[in-house]
Amino acid sequence: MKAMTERKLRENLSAYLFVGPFVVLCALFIIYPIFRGFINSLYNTKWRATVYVGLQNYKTIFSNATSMLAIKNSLLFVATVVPLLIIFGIWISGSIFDKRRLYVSGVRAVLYIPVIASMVVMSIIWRFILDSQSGLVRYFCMLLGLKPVNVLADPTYTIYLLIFILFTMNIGQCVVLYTADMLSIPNDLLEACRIDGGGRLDMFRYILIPLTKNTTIFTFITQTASVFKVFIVIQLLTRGGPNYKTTTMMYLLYEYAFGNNINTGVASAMGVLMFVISLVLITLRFVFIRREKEAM
Amino acid sequence: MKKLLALILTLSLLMGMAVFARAEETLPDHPVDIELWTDFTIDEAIMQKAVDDFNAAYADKGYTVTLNKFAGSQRTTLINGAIENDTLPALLFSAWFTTADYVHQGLVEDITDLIAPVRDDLYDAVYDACVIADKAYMVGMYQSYFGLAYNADIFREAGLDKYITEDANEWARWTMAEFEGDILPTLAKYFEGSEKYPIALFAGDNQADTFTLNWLSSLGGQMWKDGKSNAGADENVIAALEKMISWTENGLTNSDVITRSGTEASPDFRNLNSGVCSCQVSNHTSWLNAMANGSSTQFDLRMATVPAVINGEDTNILANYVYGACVMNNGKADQIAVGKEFLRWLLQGGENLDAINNNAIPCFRSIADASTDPFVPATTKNADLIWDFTGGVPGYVATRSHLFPAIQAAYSGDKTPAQALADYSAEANAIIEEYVENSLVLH
Repeated sequence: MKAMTERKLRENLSAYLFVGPFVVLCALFIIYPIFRGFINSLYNTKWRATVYVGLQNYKTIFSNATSMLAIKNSLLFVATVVPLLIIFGIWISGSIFDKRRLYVSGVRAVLYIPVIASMVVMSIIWRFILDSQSGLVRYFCMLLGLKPVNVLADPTYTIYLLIFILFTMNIGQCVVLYTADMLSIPNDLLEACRIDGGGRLDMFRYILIPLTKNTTIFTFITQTASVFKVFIVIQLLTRGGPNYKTTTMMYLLYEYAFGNNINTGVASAMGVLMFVISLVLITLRFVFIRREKEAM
Repeated sequence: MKKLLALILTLSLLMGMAVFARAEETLPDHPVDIELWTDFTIDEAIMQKAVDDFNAAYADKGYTVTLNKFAGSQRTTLINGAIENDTLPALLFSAWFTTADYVHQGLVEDITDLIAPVRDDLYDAVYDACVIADKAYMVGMYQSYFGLAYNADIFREAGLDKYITEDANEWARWTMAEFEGDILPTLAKYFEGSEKYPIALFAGDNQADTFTLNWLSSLGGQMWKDGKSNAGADENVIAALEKMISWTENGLTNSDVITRSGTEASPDFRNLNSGVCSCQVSNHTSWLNAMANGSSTQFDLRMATVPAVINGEDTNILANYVYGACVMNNGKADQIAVGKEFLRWLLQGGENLDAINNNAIPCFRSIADASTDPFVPATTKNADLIWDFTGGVPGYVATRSHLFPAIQAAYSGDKTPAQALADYSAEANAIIEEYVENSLVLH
């Protein structure tokens, strides 16, 4: 028995060695901070003392209008950007994947540039375009004889502009993933669809959308987490303004953690809330998939 | 008699030795490394020389100071990160108004005794500015009046010669009527059709928001009253904000006030994209230095006070930053002791203290008196125009987080100026109450 266990251990040793570093790093840099963040969210450390305050930091968040606006804005980002990415990802990929290779590669490369260029660079480019004092917007306004409009300062519409900007920054990744998935679909299925008289719409409905479901799940999970954490675009374009109208949970977390009115306990509570909301959204997606499978 | 004199002399010597020995006792007898963090708007070489000289003087004891100089815009993030990670430096050289909140949080050491030997040489206003509940937490290193800079070359080209002072060191004192009725419109006309603009206003973040406070007070309104924010209750502050908005609407300022940061305004001015800009004396010094060494565009840089109308009479105002040194309570006794020793050493005088003070307006009478720079007396004669932009309220820095969103709300039309300022005052007063209640130095 003992010899068998030892043999098994020897056999699995290489696997443990491969997994080991990841487990250690994951525990150190992901699991521990999550755990620590939760603990911190129950304390107030602002006045040179660590005082247990229970759920007070969470109450502070839920009783603060700015925090509630930030939660609403973050959810709005997720609720709009993620579906847009999935819809346009499938649409663009479905429209190009069966075209000539050079064309497909060209479109993918163009759309992927914003992903490679990093959010900081892309945000600065957008600032150059939209700045009402020295940007392209001003140039065109002057060309048309209009007064310069600061499109980044509208309390109602600026957030929708940011949603569009975030969409343009992430769509390339979705198109690359969907196109790769669609290229792996057997040609027989596509041919069968055509022979049966199916049009482009039928191909989307009966072949492309169902067969790229795994990519959709992956995109949903990764983009939900990514969009929920949106920070750089906000920081570089609006700094959460005007008057907090584009402030997100991540931006507010940063403000609580490193801003003028520091409160690490509230920042940690905000982090925990972000974690919980992301988890709920992703879990809901899995529940939906399971129900769908059970119904089939 | 001789015996008595000998006895007194001996006793005095013994007491002196005892005092000296006690001072020595408090210093660590092993090598200690400390950090000096600063956001001083000063040539880094000046600070580095002071640090190098101290390290050389204390080489036998093994005390080493390492300089970390960063931009003021990074200060809050760096210090807050250090608080959380328990990595605060032993020494912080910064503006008093940015440090006062840390004093209330118990993060700054009382250095009243350390300053005592130089107390008489410090200007009273400088010393008093850094005192909370009768204890001094910072020793002033230099002062920096906060007003306006203007490009005299552009003024001449625009036909505004009469507003340029004859003496290049003199601060201009324009009236509000001259400023908004002639200077700004003339500059706007001069820049017409380009991306350039007369003067920058900014509310993108709280960088250089003292400039905004100057304008908000320019019609005689009181930003602070009885230790509370008064902006929302003062008609003159509301009227001042309305005036700022009207300037922007009439094309007298940049059009992107809501998204423009204070840190973006001065590069525009230095690149000749605006005619007037917020500026403090230490910026003036470093900009002139940059022009002298050829690293920035050359132009005729002048200073002006902020035009104001108070009680119906034309006047001018200025804010004043006291930049100083403090010892942080980072919980490490050895580092605190060496930090205090560094200050004690620096305050003994000499070229390092002189160089730092002469970066702008000296905090020490002796250094100011010895200064040969004609800009110093030309500046200090405006001292009567200084107003207290912080109101001395606990938590002032924290209240700043709510000022620029209020300005944004008013500018974007999301709220009326009155409502925006009332909301700002409510937020600010909640913070002040929190600080008063929890302050570790007030109780």
